[in-house]
Amino acid sequence: MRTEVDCWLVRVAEGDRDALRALYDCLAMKLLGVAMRILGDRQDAEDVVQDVFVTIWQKAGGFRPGQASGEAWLVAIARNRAIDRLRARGRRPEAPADVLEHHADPDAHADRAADCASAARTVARALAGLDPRHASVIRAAWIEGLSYAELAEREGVPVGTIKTWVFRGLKRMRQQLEAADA
Amino acid sequence: MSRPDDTDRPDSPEAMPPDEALALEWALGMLAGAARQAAEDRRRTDPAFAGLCDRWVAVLAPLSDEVPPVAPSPGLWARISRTIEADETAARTPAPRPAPALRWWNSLALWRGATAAMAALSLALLLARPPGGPPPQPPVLLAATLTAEGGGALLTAALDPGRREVVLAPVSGDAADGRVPELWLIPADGRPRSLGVIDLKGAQRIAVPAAMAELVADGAVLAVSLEPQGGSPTGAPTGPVVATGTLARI
Repeated sequence: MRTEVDCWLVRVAEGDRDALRALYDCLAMKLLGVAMRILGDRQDAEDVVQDVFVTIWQKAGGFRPGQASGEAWLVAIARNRAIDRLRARGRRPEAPADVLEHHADPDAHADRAADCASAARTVARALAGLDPRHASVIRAAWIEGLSYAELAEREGVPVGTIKTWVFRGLKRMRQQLEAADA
Repeated sequence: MSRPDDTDRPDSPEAMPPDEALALEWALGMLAGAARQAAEDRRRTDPAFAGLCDRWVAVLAPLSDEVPPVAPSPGLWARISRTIEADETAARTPAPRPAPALRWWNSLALWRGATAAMAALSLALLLARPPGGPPPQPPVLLAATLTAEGGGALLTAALDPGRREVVLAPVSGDAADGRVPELWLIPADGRPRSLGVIDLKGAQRIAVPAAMAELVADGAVLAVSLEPQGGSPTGAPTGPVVATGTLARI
């Protein structure tokens, strides 16, 4: 299924500035939220978002319409950049949750939430079907950008166990999601 | 401690095909350093592997839907827009930007002092101007030696006016901190024009845009500044100047 975001990405790759602006208007808030949750710092997170949009303008981020939607692809790019920055900084943000509550825009969230409600519900169901520990480490790894070592410390288990949970949980999640799509 | 699901070996990481596992760890951002780079390279060159990565991204990305969006600062789009425009300007022609450029040029003397300890750069440029009138004349050769204080030779360059190319031959050194050297021509009007990012690692040819050919003259200044990857984002020098020199006839 090709979404609006996918179409804009294709147009951006052809050098269409209006499409880039449309992408920004649609997704900048989401990407900033994603980056800020990982970095806990607005300036760093805005640098990441700038980096993402400049990157897709220059080479459309290697996006190929296919398995992952354009939006998923942009979230992944933003996350990767934020994690790079986090690891380069060598420490975790002090109070990411607090930062988020101050800056979140609830109205916008509601709008976006309506758009994403269906996908989010499906994922929520898939997560709910997992062992709670598996779901918890997968969520922390993706949303907060925690490394295996950080997850192991948090859960009080060896790194190998964390890997097992992540792999097993994600494999099961994928089975459920792809079954739901089929 | 025995949990039935933890002994379920077929689901362990080792049981997942290696490419699946690698794609998962790439998608999740668990790879670092060389492993990360290797996965990125494979993703670009191996469509099957890229497909595996996409498949995991599709599974994982919806998790971000529970993260509250954050409204960007009002200036963020303008920053993005400026970066993109500067990029394109640099790609088309190194267009002059009068005001900031003049400020930059005026502060060059300060920068010279500030960069005294930096790697020395010496640049010689040989220039032959095309014949001015119908009767063939021998070309006028100009040269400049660009040196920072404390300088050893880093780069030599020669301009072929017929093909309007600067031929660069590095002697030694590199911009060590991730920034890249960019070559500037500053003619009599004092406005730097970019000749583009240069490489200190190997010989190369830098095209001189047609519009700039007549600006390359006796008395014009050549300068090298250190810029972010990809070159100055503004079209004017933004980083420290590591070498300058004035063109003179030889």
